Amino acid sequence: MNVATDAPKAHGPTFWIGVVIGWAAIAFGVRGVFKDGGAVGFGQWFIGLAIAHDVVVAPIAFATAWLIGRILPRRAVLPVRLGLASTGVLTLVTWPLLRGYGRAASNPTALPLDYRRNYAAVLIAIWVAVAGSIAIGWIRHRAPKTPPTTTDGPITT
Amino acid sequence: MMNPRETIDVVRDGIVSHRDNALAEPAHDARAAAILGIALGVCFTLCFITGLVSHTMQRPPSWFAWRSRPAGLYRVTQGLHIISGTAAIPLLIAKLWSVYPRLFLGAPKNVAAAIERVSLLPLVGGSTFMLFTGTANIARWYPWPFFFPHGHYWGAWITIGALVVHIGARSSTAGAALRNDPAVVAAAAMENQSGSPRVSRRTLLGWAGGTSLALAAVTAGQTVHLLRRAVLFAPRRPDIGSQGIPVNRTAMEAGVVDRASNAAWRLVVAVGGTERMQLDLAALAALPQHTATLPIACVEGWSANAHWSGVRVIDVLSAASITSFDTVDVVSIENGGLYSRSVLNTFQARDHDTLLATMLNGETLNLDHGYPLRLISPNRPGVMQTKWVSRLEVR
Repeated sequence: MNVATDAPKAHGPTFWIGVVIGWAAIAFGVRGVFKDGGAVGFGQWFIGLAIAHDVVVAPIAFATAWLIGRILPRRAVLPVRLGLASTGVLTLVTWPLLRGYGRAASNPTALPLDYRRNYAAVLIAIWVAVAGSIAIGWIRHRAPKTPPTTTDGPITT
Repeated sequence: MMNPRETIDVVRDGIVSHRDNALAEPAHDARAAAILGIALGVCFTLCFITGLVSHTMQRPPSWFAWRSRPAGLYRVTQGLHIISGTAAIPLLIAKLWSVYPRLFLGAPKNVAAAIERVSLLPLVGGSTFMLFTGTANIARWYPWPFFFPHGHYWGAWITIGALVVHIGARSSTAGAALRNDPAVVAAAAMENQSGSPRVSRRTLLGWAGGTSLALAAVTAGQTVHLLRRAVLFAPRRPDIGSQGIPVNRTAMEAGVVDRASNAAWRLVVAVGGTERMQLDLAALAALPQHTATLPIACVEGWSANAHWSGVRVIDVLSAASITSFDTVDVVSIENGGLYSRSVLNTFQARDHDTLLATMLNGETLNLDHGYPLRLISPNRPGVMQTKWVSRLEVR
């Protein structure tokens, strides 16, 4: 099977209807960006984030996953990969809260929680789960196989 | 020693080999991509529709006026907007990870394939752009040079357009992948040549779904009362704030402390630019007083119910002998700014729960909540519940 080819049925009438409607919406959005001003800054961020993902974040993530597969014991690989992925998502989502960019001395109701403490607590929970998962896998692997149960006679079907 | 041409060939062959190995794994196959795509499509569609609701409430087209009921509609739609956007983040990461090997497919074979490939730029750029700017906005962080509401709104049209193209291109492939589970075949590819364990499709989908739900659970308490105790990372908690309600913009931030505290404050009612009546706080207190229990629902996704007391807008207009009108502009004492005034359409202005409030939860409004007078009206974004009101302009 050649997995690297596009299915020919992908470009039937549904595709072309989608192209017309979709690109009309895209054109409407682009027109709005130019109409409201700030198009250069918008474009830099819009394209920059796509490039940042494809050229920086994704290669680093794949390289890290590959490296973990090489250096860690086999039973630790998957839990550690999932732990790192969860840590990454958590850090990404909470970054502005952890840095407190939006805090204002005159408004104590904005960002009112102790986000660093909460982040640390969730991080500990994630890595305890990772350690537990590794330990359970190891114990299961080490546990002696139970002998087959005896039967009164041969089972025939 | 290889020459440059040979080096390029070796690198290319290596990329192709890794790409094909990856695409043969269940976590990178069409079924995983389809399931993640459907989940992401649901979240993005919810975000888009609820975002349109918010946009049209703040900038209604000339041919449409939102009704004032149900009172909590905006609370629900904007809460959903933020929750579905937050939940989409792990789904997007999993989806991008799942389809990343396809980035290294060869050149498109025809025009249609080229259009599909080009349409991925607004899809990937738009998805990351929308979730990044939305997450930063609710945390009050603005590292970009454009005006957030404009960028987020037009970015949504670009992203949803690219999503429509993608659905049109991939719906048949996704349908086939969902009908014919290739798991049995793909199970054989669970280990690569080095024997390193790979992520199964079930693990990928379980991680994405679980992380998505967990993120929603620890943030949704800023609007869902039942989840309030689970709030760990929401930028607001509805019960933290003066007089029991959070404050989006304080009197100090708005620069109105002196003018709002001035005993010379008056509410001016004007028709077509001509002043019709002035009322001080005593005159307002002499009008019939009413209490309404209404949510204050912020565009940033938090919301909280409160008891508001004051005079009905319609009673103030009646006191000024105004019975016929199209809209009422509610103007703050702020020196300009996008949110220094808001417009009540006829449904909103005539609603019996639309108040010029002087009290909040049984106490006189404090400065940060809009003393001496603020607007509170059903089914409106918090930024349109104008604070420090000094003027009603009737049209």
